[in-house]
Amino acid sequence: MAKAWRMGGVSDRREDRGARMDLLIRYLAGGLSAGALYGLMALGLVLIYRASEVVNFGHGDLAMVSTFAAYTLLRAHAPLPLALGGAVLFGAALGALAERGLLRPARRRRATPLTLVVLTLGLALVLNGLAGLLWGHEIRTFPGLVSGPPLRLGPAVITREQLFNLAVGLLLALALYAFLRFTRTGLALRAVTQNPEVARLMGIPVDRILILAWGVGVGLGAIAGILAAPLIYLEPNAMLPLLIKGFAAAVLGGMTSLPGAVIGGWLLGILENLAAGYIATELKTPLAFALIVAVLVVRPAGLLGRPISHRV
Amino acid sequence: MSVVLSLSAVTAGYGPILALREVSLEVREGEVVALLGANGAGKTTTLRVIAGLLPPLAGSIAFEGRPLHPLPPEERVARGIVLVPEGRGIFPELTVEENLWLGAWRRRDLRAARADLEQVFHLFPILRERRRQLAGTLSGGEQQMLAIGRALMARPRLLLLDEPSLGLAPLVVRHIFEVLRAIHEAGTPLLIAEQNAHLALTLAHRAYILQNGEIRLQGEARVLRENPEVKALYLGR
Amino acid sequence: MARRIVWGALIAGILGVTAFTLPSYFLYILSLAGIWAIAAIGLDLLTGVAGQISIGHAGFMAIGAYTVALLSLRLEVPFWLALPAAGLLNALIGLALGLPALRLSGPYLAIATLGFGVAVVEILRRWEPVTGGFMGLKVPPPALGPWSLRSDAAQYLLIGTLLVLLAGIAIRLIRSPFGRAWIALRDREAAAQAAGISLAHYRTLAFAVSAFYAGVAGGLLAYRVGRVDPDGLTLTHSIFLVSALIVGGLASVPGAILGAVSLTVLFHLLSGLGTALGWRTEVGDVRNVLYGAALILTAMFLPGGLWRLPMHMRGRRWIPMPSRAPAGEEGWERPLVSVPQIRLGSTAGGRLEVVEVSKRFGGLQALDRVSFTVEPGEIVGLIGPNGAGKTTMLNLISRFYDPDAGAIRFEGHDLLRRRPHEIVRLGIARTFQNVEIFPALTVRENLLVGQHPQTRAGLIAVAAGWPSVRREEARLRERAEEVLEWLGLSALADRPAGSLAFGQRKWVELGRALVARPRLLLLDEPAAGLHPAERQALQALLRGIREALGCSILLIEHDMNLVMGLCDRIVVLNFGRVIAQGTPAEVAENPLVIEAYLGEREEEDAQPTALRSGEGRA
Repeated sequence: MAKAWRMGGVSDRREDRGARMDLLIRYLAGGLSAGALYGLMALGLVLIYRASEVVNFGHGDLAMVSTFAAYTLLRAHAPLPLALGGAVLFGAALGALAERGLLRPARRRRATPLTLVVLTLGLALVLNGLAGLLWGHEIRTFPGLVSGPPLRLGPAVITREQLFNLAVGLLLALALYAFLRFTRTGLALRAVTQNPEVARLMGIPVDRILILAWGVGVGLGAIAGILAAPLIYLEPNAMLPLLIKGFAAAVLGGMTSLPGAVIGGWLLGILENLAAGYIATELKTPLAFALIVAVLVVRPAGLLGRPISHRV
Repeated sequence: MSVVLSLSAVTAGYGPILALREVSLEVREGEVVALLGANGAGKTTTLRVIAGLLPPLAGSIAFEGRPLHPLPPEERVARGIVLVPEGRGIFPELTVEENLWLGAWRRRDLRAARADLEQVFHLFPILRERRRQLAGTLSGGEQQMLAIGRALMARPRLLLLDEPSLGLAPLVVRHIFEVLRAIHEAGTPLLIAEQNAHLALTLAHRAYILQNGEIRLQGEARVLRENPEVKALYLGR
Repeated sequence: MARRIVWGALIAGILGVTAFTLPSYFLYILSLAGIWAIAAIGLDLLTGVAGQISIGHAGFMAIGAYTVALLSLRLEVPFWLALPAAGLLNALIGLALGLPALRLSGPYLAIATLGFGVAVVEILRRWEPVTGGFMGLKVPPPALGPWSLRSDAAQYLLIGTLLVLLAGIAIRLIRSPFGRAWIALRDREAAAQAAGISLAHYRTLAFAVSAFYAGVAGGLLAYRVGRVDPDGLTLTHSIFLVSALIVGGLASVPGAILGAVSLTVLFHLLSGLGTALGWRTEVGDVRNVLYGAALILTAMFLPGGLWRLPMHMRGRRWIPMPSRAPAGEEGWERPLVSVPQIRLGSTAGGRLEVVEVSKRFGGLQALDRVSFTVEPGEIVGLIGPNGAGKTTMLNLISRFYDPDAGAIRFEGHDLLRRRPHEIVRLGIARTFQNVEIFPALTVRENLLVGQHPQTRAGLIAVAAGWPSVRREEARLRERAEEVLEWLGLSALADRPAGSLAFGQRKWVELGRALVARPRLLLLDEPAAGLHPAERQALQALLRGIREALGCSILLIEHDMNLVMGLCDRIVVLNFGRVIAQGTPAEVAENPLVIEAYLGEREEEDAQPTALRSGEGRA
């Protein structure tokens, strides 16, 4: 496709147009599916950020460790749902522990923003090292979660895996929305993200809600990691690109906006695929960084976030 | 009348700085008590200590006969102590109705809570009109009504209000104080911190006047209203 | 001067002796440690001193490394040109990065710098024709004329010398007006701007200087290792630098060096141990676990880093924290120092005109067509119930935000065209409701910040330590000393301001405003939280200030005794509008004022006798 453009002529025959359409749809499908995963990472990051005002730089490594847990359970011949469920719960538990054991004591000591960043970085380092010690650095493959031939939807061809990822991402986003909008606990969480002190005056146990936010946030990251693992290899450092893209999606959508995270994820996924398809594959990762820097320069609040102002 | 709330020689502060010094006061059943004083006198600190947001450095607080001390704010709400904070403290990105339901968050009796919601709408009809609006879009007066309605949703056994008239137009303030009178007449004791001394003194039975963290004057509202000392404490000698 | 020579000789001696006695391997490790120390010092200036988080500094190092590599390879530029070039190029990039960084804070800045660091690696990896792609480039060793500095000892000496020079420069910067400006902006941004420090100027400068250091360090690394490649300076290294700072001690040059050297040595010890034990890949992982744990433990329990361990052991806090009480409800402390007697030299007051100013915040009309003036030499009180718009007025004059309508002029200058840090140069100084002194600076240094607009020393002059800089500093100190004496604070001059009692801090803040020779003083609730004896002292002090300096004063206050006793005129605000203006006597009798404060009475109000008869001027 790109070659045709480079040769200077773009043919106009119907078969070629059809082929171009196929390609475009393929890129879009791939973008939406990858974007769903970025969106899941971003959702977790934004949820944690809104609840506790901390950017969790350890998010990628928490997801990685959970994915390794799934891998281990699968190798031990645990049935698929048990392995995956167990791994996600494990990740959520780690997240809860991080909040309870690391961040709450830090808050009690009136930690500065730098301290909080440093704590999550420290967490990332420790998890990375432990994973290396426990599982080594050989490159492993993670089994695909769905199998079967690709599906044909009209002119488009998408793999079952892409469809599965997209579906899971969408369902989880909707589930999160429903949880926040329609449940008592969800309401409490929303209150805590807006005004934790007054939330206490409502009788809401803010400390416990924060643990919940971290648990859910990291759990979402774990799911993203597990879904991504079959597509990339599994190794302690393999999750870094996913984390960066999660950040890019979160920043693009606005660190303070949950719907923004989802939309940012899709946007990133689609842009990335289009760039890779039509220009060069190598552009995928640089695009994410370029996006982060560009958004932060032009509009730090992102697409849907609340504008940040220099408070006096 | 039995004592609902009592503070004994409560001292509290922030870091090395004392904002309250050995303050003792009482609220009895069925009373409205006003906490008066110029800005910076210690009124907000007093209410925060009672609500559990600030631990006292010395002294004790008892509510309905039991000591309040180690309880965090979340538990004090469950006991029935509800604070309407200074500046309203509504959740701007939640709807009016969601804000109100948050007031009832600790309650298990959903049906009774729903009935209470209707009551609140009856007291503040404008809230029913705006029930699906985001609370941040409401005017100052409407937000204050929302904050009070939300507090009522918790079925308070003692209602604390921090400067309910702050920044509000006189007509709105009058309406709010009428509602407060109705709440009191329904049986809930009130402790109101106010800068607007006259208004507070027309509603209250008794009042305490704070200056620099100490109680300078106390007594029946009727008597204090005529007392020139009150003006002096506010407007200088 | 003599001290410098002694120190210089001592260090030269140590370097020389170690270079020729220590085994090569040690020299190699110490060389690396020195390189990381240089980068860490640079990062410290940005993150520790200026308070800007960066987790992408390896990116600057990488640019420096490649610059040196390319200059040496392609253009055969000698090291003593290539290294400064690398530094300068990085400084420019740092400047460019600093500009957008102005709008970012805390975690957002961290993400942006993370993105920068990783982007640099990606570009280096893909820009094959220039950078050699993932294979990298070989770097010829530095040469001084005919002598090639290839040996471990030679490189060690080069790095050691540069480390000492750059450390010295950093220390001089920290102690200079630059360092104070950075610290002030870090700790109390608004107050720093009100003292005349430009946010944009100093923040971008911090990036530039810090990038310079990283560039030089990167270049030295290229020479030391003999090659550059894109995987040599990645996110891991950026985090390593941050770790070095946290572990060693933020905002401290010796701390940065301590952190970088100890972590580098530790890493190499680990590698050695690992090899001995037959580990291979595990070394990196163990290192990560240890670094991570060290970061977490230090951040939690030893926030000042190892360098400040002695202080920590003695129970002293690293950065003294002021308290966090709601505005106005602070308490009081022991009675304060005596009222000053000395004369200070006059400045003569200026005229302030506020004309039809309005300001709305969301649904709230904070100010509604407010007009008043402050005549030269007058003391005007701005009073009104809580929420009446008083602090908003002051913040508009300070230019922290813009009014929706109206004009503000001082001595004929249109203030609305100025930025916050330009206000003090026009002769207006202020204090804040929450007493915004800079807790990490000493009392004297707080006052030196107040004289910031009068500093002329340039960056190069400060870095080089020229005598003119010292002379200027001495002059500023003299002036600060005068004011300290005047305020009775001389005994406290070298204490960190954050450790002072509340009342003393207020005096320091006043001192900082006074030292700027203001023609208009804006005071936001100066008496809040003071107890009666201190209030008396304050009243006398403010009168003394007007007599001694002749400046105009506009003050917001709730303490009516103070206001009535001190002010020539009073402006009363309620709900954002001026409801009364006049002499204290007039205002006290004004029924609108009484109503605003005490509330409307149901019955007709008789003459407020308590006010008329009881009030007296002190």
